[in-house]
This record gives sequence, structure tokens and C-alpha cells, in this order.
Amino acid sequence: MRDAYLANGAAPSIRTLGKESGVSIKELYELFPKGPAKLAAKVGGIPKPRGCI
Amino acid sequence: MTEMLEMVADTPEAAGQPKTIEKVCIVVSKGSLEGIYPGLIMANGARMEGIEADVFFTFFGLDAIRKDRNASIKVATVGNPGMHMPTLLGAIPGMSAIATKMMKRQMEKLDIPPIPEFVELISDSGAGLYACKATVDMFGLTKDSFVPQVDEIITVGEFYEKAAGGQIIFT
Repeated sequence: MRDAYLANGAAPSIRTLGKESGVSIKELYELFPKGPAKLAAKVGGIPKPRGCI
Repeated sequence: MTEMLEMVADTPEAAGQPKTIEKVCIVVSKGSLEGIYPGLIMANGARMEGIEADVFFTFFGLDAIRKDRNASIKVATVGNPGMHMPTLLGAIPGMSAIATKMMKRQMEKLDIPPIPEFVELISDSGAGLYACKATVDMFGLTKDSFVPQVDEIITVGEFYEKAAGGQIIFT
């Protein structure tokens, strides 16, 4: 997450997260029903994803 | 046109409800590209924020979840003042295809997925996808006409039951 933020200047979207983490989007939401991308950004200490997707 | 019907009491606090939105039910009623995307984006956005979401497809909105049609949704170039071009120009064959192609290219740049993938993404995120029974019967469709992500074909009454305690958004 941090690497992507530092490289792109924004936290990765849930779509990118699903593609690049090796964990499917379905599993991500099952593990973190309150928003996996938001939580991952919080843990990573970066601003939450700003995109609409 | 997007309007919001609030189902909450006069003051949320008085009704003992939290200040944040906990649940949304989105109705998609139009079958053009610009009619479908807003509903899908709002559903996905809700799930990203941890808000429970259900999407109800009715009338031409059903095209978004129809196997045979959801890959070929087009921008409406006729009767759409937002296109800023004369209606007769918009009626030229191929015009809608060109406008759609241009818009899709722009969307790809912004990491907005195509409709079939978007529907899958929303379903994976734990949102419910429902088809309107009245329209399904009217168009002579069955559950097999839809992508496998569709949970159920439900009536308006059942939709309201599912929407209980949430906000209904009609697009």
C-alpha cells in the first residue's frame, strides 16, 4: 500500500488491490466488511483512497 | 436525473439512528451508459465506505445485468441535452458507438471498469443485486437471462422489505 502511494501519490483502489494483492475482492470484503481499501490505507499510515472506484 | 428519497424520521438522533449512513438501496432504471454507471459507482462507493448496499434493477436498467446486453451498453446521443449537439446529428448511425468508444477510453484511463466487470466487483463486495419482477415478466425474461451475480428476482414489496432501515436512491 505504502509503495503504491509513494509511487502514484494516491492509495490504490479496491480494484487494483484485488488485482495485485493476490487475494480476490470477494475475500477482501469477507475479511474486512467495513471497507478493505480504507482500512488498508489506515494501517499503512497513508490517506484513504480518493477515487470513486 | 437522480433524486433521493429519505426514509428516516425528521431528526435521525430523535429516532435513535446513527448520524452516518448505514445502508443504501439503489434503484437503476435506465439502460444507457450514463444511466447505469452512476448507480453502480454509488453502490461500489458505499461498499468501499463500509456501507451496506443493495442494487435493484428495473425497466431498461436490467440491461446492466443481462448476459446478452451488458457488454454493449451505449451512450444516449439522442434526446440528451448534455451531449451539446443537435438531436439529428446524434441520430446518424454509428454516432452512439463513437460517443461510447470515446467515453470508454476515458473511463479506462480513470480505472473505471467496464459494466460486466463492475457488476462482478459490486457483487464480490457483498452488495445484493436484484432484478425487478414486474419488468422481468414484462420482457419475458428468466433468471438465466442474467449474469450469475444476480441474487434474486424480487417484487417491489420485497424490495421495500430489504430497504428497511436504509436510504433509497433512485437513478
